[in-house]
Order: sequence, then C-alpha cells, then structure tokens
Amino acid sequence: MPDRKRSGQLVHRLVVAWFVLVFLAMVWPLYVPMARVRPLVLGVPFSLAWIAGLLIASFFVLLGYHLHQGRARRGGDGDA
Amino acid sequence: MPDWVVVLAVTLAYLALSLAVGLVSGRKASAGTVGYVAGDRTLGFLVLYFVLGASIFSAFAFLGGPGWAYSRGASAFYILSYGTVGMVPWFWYGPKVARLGRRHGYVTQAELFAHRFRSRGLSVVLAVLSLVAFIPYLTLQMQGAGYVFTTVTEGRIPVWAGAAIAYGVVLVYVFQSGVMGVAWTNTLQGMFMMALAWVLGLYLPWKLYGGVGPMFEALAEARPEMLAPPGLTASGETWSWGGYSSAIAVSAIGFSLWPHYFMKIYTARSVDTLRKSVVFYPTFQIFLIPILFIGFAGILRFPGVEPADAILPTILTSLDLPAVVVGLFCAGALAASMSTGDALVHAAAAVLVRDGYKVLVRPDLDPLREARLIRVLVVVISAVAYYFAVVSKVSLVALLLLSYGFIAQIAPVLLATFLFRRATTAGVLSGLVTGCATVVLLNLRPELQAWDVHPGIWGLAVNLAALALVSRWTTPLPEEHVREFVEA
Repeated sequence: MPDRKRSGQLVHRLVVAWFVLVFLAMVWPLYVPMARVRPLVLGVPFSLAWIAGLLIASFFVLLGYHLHQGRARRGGDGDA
Repeated sequence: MPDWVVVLAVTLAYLALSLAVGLVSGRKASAGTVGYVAGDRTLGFLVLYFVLGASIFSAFAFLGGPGWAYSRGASAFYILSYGTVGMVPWFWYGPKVARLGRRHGYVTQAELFAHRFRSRGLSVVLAVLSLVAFIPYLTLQMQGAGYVFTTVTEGRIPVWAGAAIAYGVVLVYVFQSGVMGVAWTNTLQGMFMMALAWVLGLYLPWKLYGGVGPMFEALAEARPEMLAPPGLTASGETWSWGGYSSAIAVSAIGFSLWPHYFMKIYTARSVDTLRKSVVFYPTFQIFLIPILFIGFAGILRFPGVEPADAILPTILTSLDLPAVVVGLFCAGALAASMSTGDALVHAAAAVLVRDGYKVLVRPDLDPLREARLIRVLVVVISAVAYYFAVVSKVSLVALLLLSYGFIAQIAPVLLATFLFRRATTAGVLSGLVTGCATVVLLNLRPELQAWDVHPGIWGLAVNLAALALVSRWTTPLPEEHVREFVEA
C-alpha cells in the first residue's frame, strides 16, 4: 500500500511538472525558438501549432491523470 | 422582406429561446441562498462544462479575438496560451474548495478566505475588489450586445436600445432563476458559440483564400510579421517578449480566480464532476483557434477596418451571405456577451450581500431574505452597469486594465489558505493591499514597469513578500483551525 501511495505522489509530481513545463514552453525564453512561421503544420504557422499541440497534449495528460486517480481510489488508495 | 428584418428576427428568436430556457431551469431550485447562488450544489458534468466554457468566452473572445488577430497578429496567441494552463489549478484546489463549501455553507469566494483567516476585513476587501473588477467587465459585455443590435439593424436600433433588450432578457432570467438560469442558458449559449466558431472559422478562410493552409501561405508571403510572436502592439509596433510573456502569466494566474468563476466550484454535484469538467475544458478552449482564423482571414482581404473588433461583422456583411446566417452570427455574438454578463450580474449581487452587507450590517440575515436581497441587487447592478455602458461618458477601459492585475492578487491568498500554515490574517491583508497598490501605481506610471512586465506580476512579487514578512512577525492562527484547510 505505501508503494502505491508513493507511486501516486510520483505521478502527481510528474503531472505538476508537465504543466509548469507547458507554461514555460509558451513564454520567453523557451517559446522564442518556436515563435516562427514555418514550417506550416496542418496549414497553420508553427508558432500557433506549437501552442495548439501543447493544449491537446495537456488535455490527454490531465485525462490520464484523472483516470489514474479514479483507479487509485477504487483500489482503496484514497485521493492520490 | 429586407435582410435586416430577417437578421433581427433570427436574433430575437434566439433571445426568446434563451429567456425560455432561463426561466424554466430555475423552477426546481430551493428558495434560499444556496439554491439561488449555488444551485443547491447539484450541477452535473455537462452543464458545469458549458458554464465554465461560456462564462469565460465573452464578447471579448467572439469580437475581440478576431480583432486582435486582425490588428495585432500573433500577439493574439496569448489568449490561447493562458487558457491552456489557467484552468488546471482547479483540478487540485477545486475539490478542497467544494468540500469546505459543503461543510460550511460557502457560496462565495471571500467566505472561504474570510473563514480561513477569521477576518471580516478580508471579506469586505475582496467584495470591493470583485466589484471593481466586475463593473467594467459587465459594462463591456453590455456595450458588445448593443453593438450587435446596431450592426444587425444597420443602425436602426441604437446601442442603448440593443443593450437594454439583451440585458433585459438577462435580468429577467437571472432575477427569476439565479445560478440555474445562468447555468442552463450558458449550456445553450456555449453549444451555439462552439458550433458557430468552427463553422465561421473554417468557412471564411475557405471562401476568401481556398482554405486555412492557403490563407496562412498568403499571409506568410505578404505579412510574415503578423504570424510571428510576440506580434504587434495596439499601435502597430512589435510587442516586447516581456509584455507578451507577462500577459500570459498574469492572465493564467488570475484565470481561475475570477470570483464569478470561482463561485461555480460550489455548484458542482460532486468532486468527480468538478474534476471531469476541468479535464474536458481544453475541448472548449480550442475553439479559440477558429475564432483567430476569422481575424487572420481579414488581414489581406479587408485592410483598414476600424475599429478592429468590427472585422467579423465587416466580413460577414461583405460576403452576401443569406440573412439567416448573418442572424445566427449575431445571435452567437449575443450569446458570448450574455453568457459572461449573466454570471457577472449574479455573482456581483451575491458578493455584495454575502461578503459586504451580511458581514458588516446583518449577520443574522435568514436565507430567504438574503435571496430576495440578492435579487434586488441583481436589478441595481444591472442598472449601474447599463448607466456606464450607454449613458456615462466615463471610460472604464483603465479600470478594466487594472482589474486583471487586481484579480491576480488573490492568488497568494489562495496559496496561503491551502499551503502556508504560517500565513496570518495581517500577512494576507497586507499582501493584498500592497499588491493592489503596486498595480495601481504601475498603471498610473507605466514608465516604472521594468522590461514591460505586466503590473500584476510586480504586484504579485510585492504581495508575496509582504505576506511572508508580515506573517513571520505576527501571531499565527490556531493549528487545529488551519489544519482543516490545509488538509481538506
């Protein structure tokens, strides 16, 4: 049981780290190399596709985390 | 039949539908404050999802979003960026707030903080802060609605009458049904906005350029500066990275803290419902992409449109579209204005009563009288905002700019509530006051803003420093009281 709790905490930290990284990837200085027009991705400028990609990836990360938490709760682990 | 009559008929039909939905939805709610303000804490996933989406996407998103893309190019990407992370904190603190709300009967943001820090002063300061932020925001929504009617009728219905018609409808359903009226109309308005945004955002580039790809190819050739962040300022110069990045930061921090938005946490049926709504929020946020396409579509084909926010109506009226389609667009713009405006009116009235009047004057006010008083204030606040929207010549734009900086100052209070055991009442209050004072000072003296960083960020730095220092020198609250919040 403590192992499960530790793994829950690790997942929690990874998810928090992901969102911190996403924020940093949209502002100066990490966003500067991505702030270019070409290549166009699916017809849109790279700078916009980058943000859209982060938005979509973040949706799946949070969805995965939510499902993981649900499983952890059903396994009697409490609020992971 | 003239086109404008058809367009007006479609718009009025939409308003009638909103009114019907708003009136019917409130019939099952209980008569007291919890029913009127928190919907008896019964909102399910679908409704909460649309409430979260539609409350945020205001007239600014529907008209201002294309306007930014049209006039300032890639600087508009900041609107998409802050929403990507701005809602996420709810996933963690939302359930805590919801649990405490059920336990102690909170329906407003300030009630949670005032209880945590045992401070009536904090409640009143937050009530004032909320109103200062709400009124200009609400005023802009009303002006947006009035502007839609004027466009629809080719000037036959003036802005004052348009605003009165749209917000007359809002007033009736908010007065009668409270948050349930807000929630169900937001569901209708949210679905409508999403559908319209995708249809227009894909149709207009196709019609004008042959598709989204060809549109951006043409822009990349002719106006590459419009596609490279940080884009342009309102005066057409290149925006600084400091300004762009700090605008994202301050908006992301304040995003989930707007009091009218925060209050919706209390309406959730369960913690799981709340979390699910946050998880699916990006599916709403992504509709900003086609909204931005609309503005980009206008850059090469419709140069020189003033004001830039008029680009969408300008394109639509230039394309010889069927009047019914133009009417649907107008209804969509009204939906954007009303779905934010109704939540603001409702929240402002609840905040004034619960965090101001009840705290200072009548702590023993019973729930039925309280709900009645909130209803009365719904009317008063609507009238005040209407006055500023169409009668007063006072510009509220400066106040609106301040409000984003102000709302971000609530973030340290939230952190102190759930994370900083040692935070004291004096610490939180001094942080809030010095943070807001810094925002005001830097707005009055913009030359003091180092690296063009948003005043709200400097305010946050001062706020956190004051919170930490004053808390260190003052007596902490009892451990068992603090534990309830930190371990909620």
